Amino acid sequence: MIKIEDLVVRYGAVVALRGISIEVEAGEAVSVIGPNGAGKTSLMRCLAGLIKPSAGSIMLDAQRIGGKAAHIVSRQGVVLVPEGRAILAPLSVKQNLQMGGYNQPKAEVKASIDDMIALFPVLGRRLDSAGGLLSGGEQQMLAIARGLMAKPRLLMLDEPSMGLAPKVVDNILDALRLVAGLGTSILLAEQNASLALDITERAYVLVNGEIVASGAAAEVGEDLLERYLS
Amino acid sequence: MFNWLSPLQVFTLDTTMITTVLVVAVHIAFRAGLFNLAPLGFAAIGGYTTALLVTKQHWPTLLGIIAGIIGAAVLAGLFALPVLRLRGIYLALGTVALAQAIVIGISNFDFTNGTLGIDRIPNRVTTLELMILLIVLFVLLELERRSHFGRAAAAVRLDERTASGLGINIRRIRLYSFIISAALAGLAGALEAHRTTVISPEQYGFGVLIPIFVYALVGGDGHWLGPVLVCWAIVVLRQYIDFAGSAWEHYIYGVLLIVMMMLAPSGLTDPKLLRKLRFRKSRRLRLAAERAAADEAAAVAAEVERAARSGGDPVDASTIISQAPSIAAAP
Amino acid sequence: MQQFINGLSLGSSYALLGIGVTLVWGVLGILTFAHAQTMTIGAYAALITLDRGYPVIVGVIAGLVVAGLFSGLMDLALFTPLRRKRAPEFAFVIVTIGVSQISDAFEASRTRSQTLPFPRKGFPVEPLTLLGRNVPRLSLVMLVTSVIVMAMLGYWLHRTKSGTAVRAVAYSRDTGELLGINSKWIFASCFFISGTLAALAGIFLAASSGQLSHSSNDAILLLAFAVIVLGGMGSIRGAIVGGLLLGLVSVYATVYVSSVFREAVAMLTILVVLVVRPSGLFGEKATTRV
Repeated sequence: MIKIEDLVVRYGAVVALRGISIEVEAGEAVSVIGPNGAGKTSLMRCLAGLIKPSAGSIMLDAQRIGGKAAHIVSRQGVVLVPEGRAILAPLSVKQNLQMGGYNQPKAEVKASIDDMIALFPVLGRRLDSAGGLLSGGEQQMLAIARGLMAKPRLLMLDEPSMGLAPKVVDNILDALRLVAGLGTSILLAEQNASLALDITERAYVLVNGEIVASGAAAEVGEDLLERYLS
Repeated sequence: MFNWLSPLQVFTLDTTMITTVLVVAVHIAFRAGLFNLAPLGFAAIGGYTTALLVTKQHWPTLLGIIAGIIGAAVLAGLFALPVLRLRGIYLALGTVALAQAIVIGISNFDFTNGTLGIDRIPNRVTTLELMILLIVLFVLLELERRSHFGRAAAAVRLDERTASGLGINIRRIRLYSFIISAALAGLAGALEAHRTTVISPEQYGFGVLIPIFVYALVGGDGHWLGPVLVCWAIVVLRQYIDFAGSAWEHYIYGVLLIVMMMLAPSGLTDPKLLRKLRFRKSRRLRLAAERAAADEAAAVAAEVERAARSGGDPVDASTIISQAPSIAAAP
Repeated sequence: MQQFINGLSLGSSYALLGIGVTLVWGVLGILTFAHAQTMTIGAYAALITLDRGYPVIVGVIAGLVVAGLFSGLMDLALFTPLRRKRAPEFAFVIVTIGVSQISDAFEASRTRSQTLPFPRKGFPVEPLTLLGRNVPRLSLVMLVTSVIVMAMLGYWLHRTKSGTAVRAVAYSRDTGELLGINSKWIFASCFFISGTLAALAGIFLAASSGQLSHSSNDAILLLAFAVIVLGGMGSIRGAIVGGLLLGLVSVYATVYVSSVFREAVAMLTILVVLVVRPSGLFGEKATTRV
């Protein structure tokens, strides 16, 4: 479904991604694992359209989306849940969700919000609170719910577990498993390798801007990763 | 010494040199990242201080000028603490308000003669003195630019957080830059009072600041010579294409401001811009090196995949990495 | 009591100014020095239309549309590229200074720097006597207009999808884009609306004084800033309260302290508020913009 070939991302003289290739098939859950500074966020932001690729191609089915503006990429069904949640703090939880459904028909938005509340009940209890007042875990759930409002074909998540307590992370993983089970493709960028391998079928290992390993999650075992990432 | 020039040309030369001091004042503030719109207010303080002291209290000119500088610096110091807590457009707004308040204050107080201004200020500033002053100023500027303070100021402008992380005392840099900028503006105002012999509140209005801004912004933040040269270039241009005061001057300033911001917000002496131009030459070499590194990385990745798929012992990552020095050495 | 009314009447024109600026500065954070010129351009458009004999309502609409387009085009042509390049804040401000220079020069050359009379016929300019006091009718209309505009803006920003999108994009353009919001048009429409509000203020002021020149509104710019600073950035309610308060303080300072202080009041207000409570009366806490 989404095919990235030889992607290069440069910030001036600094090269963040040195020609990487990644594929995600429809219905798959794939993770990109790597240490700090490996280039995961650059990859995510580039896929989402916030950064232009310096070279290489990004194809969604047969269409080029590399270099397209973020709002167009989002409309094509590739939705990013950014690093640090990026909640619209002054807006209420409900308004955040409504913004998530910005390009969806009005009638469906209401139904989708109900679905999100079913998925994350805590959001239902805090529907009118300002987004900025939520706890870290609640914000992460809101960010994911907001992303799902757009009914994405590919949901991308950048380090969703960052800064969250293990129990909260478990909640989120359960939700993600549910989402994956419903057929949405998932691309997960994570530092926490065991977490990522737990819910995704395939994994790429990104170190210093390059893919140094890839394969089925079971194969890209923790052992290998410890040696890379220690 | 300058009698081969006509009196008008001497006047232009003198006022240009005085304007140069003002341009430097603006530059110093910009260089530290202070979006400071108050220099004319401080120039007014400098001008009026010396004018009042010399005409009403009969102080000698030199002391009057020094008093002007000190007056501006003191006022800047007073306002620095609250004003410098502000950032970006809040700072701009605060300084605009400060400058306007000064001008309005001057227009309305009796002892400053209100809007009529002060005239018959002794004309004691000669061209030679101005030149010497400028030369001394330039030397000091260059020394300062290369000094720790100068580089620290540039760092503060580029990225405050990083600068503070490097141990640079941001508050002090901003404070000193603000006060020095004000002092220089005060000096310019005082010199102008003694050269043009007449001062009034209108000459310190916001509109007069616009050309100075154009010089400072086009000239850039990197080197004081930028704004100074731009100022001189435009003065020379004005001699040949007489458009001063007409609509064309405003058109040109407006267009220059817009174009500069679109293309090079940090001016022509922006170190990043210069580096980008020098960058182009070595670009080809770097690209070749990068491609080589990328090829190596691809080779290593292929090997790891092969090993993983063959189902043998878990691949020893460290050996693979050591075989590909480009990956290991990458920052 | 008369002074109170005078203060409110002055304040009502300030409030109208404030609302025009608050959308762009308060919500989007752009300190636009071009606002005064936008007001003047709108007033000129109205002037030209009215001079041709069209009724007042047509003149006003012409002014609103022209100023709105001017403002919106400025955003599309100049600010959108700057945003794409993530240019620093001061670049936007400098651009607005540049725009105002060009616009000012254009008007000056077209009118040969003359002050033109502004037709007051058809505008509610006759004085009104309310409860035995003299109330300038135009001020009353301005105040009522300000309140209506405030209510409409408030409703739009907080209860409609497009308005919420404006607030979303104002908070974080990147996040808005990720959600599929085309921020370019959001910004442009905000500038268009701000332009129409500026024209409204400009036309009212021109009708009130009966004249218009290319520099009519230069001094007003700082007053508008004072209103926003006092009322708080981003708060439309604050713009009205700030405007009225500023008007009252100006009038009372003139009467009870010294006539000297009338002009200085706005400047002092800015300084005092920025030092004591930068977020103003109703504004959100001024956070450091990264």
